Amino acid sequence: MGYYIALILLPLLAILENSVLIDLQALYAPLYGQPSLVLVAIIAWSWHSELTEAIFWAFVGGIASDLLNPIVPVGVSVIAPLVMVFAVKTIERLFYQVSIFTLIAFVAVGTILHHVIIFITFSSQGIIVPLAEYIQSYSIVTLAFNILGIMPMYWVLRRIQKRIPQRQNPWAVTPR
Amino acid sequence: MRQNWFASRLILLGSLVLLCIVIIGLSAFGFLRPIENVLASPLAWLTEITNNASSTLLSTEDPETQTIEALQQRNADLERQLAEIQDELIALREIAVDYDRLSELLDYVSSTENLDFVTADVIGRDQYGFINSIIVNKGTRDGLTVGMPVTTDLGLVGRIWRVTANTAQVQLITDRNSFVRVRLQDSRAEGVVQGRGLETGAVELLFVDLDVSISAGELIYTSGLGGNFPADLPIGQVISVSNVESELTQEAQVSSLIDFTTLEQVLIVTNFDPADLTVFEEPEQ
Repeated sequence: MGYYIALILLPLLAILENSVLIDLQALYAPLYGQPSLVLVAIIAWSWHSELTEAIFWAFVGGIASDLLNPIVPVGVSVIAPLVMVFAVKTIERLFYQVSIFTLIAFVAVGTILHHVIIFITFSSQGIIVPLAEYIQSYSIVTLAFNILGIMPMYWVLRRIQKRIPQRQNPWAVTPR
Repeated sequence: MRQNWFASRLILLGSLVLLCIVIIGLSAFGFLRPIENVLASPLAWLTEITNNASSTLLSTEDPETQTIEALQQRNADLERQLAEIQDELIALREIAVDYDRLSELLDYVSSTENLDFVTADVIGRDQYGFINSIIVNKGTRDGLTVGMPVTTDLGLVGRIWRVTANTAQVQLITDRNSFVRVRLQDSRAEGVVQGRGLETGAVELLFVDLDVSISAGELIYTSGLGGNFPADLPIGQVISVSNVESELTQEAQVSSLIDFTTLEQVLIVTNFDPADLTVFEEPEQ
């Protein structure tokens, strides 16, 4: 069921990122960062999902984001969520009990990683990005939004997860 | 066991990241363009709907301004308005400067009860340099006649030399052919001021008795003698004195307070008739 939710929810979040949230930037100009709804949703969902489902979420969310953002090639926005999904599942495996606030750290690292990948992509395409301005006006604002947004997002997604029937995935990698 | 699990995770992650890089490469070189177009179409359509809705709700701007053409038009309109406002600003600044100058002239006119004035704008200067003169925009229609003194709040400018219906040419006191009978403020000694042909306002004080002590900074006024100018119009200030014993009189360099190069408005004294004293110079037969 989580797969179907990903196919509906993540494109919708990507659409929101590319429409409403861009318009909202006018409220706090000249800063122009915005919450990475897709990234936050993937990390929040992966906390209680199977690895394969989380990987699916990372691919769907990343590709949906890139399809709506013609500046970057498709696949760029998949890497950071993918790495963070593996990080979440690894931490979950290594420690018996992990505080929910660890999610904040994951979101922070994921945001920074995503921006580093975007910056590398731009640079490789010959697009000159003023690094200091990019970090000050965009990355820090986005980081703040994501940290603030992870708890509400987790709260909503966790309630959805609890309502849907959990299904055993034959390709699940997560060891029992 | 745990190491194997960790290694398998790393291999899986590496494989997926590698897959992403392959997808990125294919996308960057356009090989995925058909698939991207198919997938992006519904998303773009939904984004457009959401965008329009959010723009309407959140933006205070007219929706027309969202198009590039409308923004270009608005930019052109704003540039035109800016040019108009800059023109207006320049005109207003000019008016402010005129206002300051005219108010000073008005103060001067108010302080001189016995004299009637006509205010005139300077509209030209002597273009050949033979005489130091200016042309003003008032003439016989305004009651001007040859010989009328021309002044400002800072002192004597000169006198009307030629006059037409609408304009008048004013011979400046800096002209070499200008002679003005003057009186020193402190010593009350008399002399004659002659122009030196310079626009800087430098004139020369001549024919002052040797026994008169002239000090630098002393003010000089018209004496009224000779009948060409009313008395007590300021001329300038003594800058330096040249007292040569072999000479019969002493001379001094005088600087007018007026900057003749930037003179824009003058006052013409209309109720002063230059006296013709030549009748007393001819012995009666």
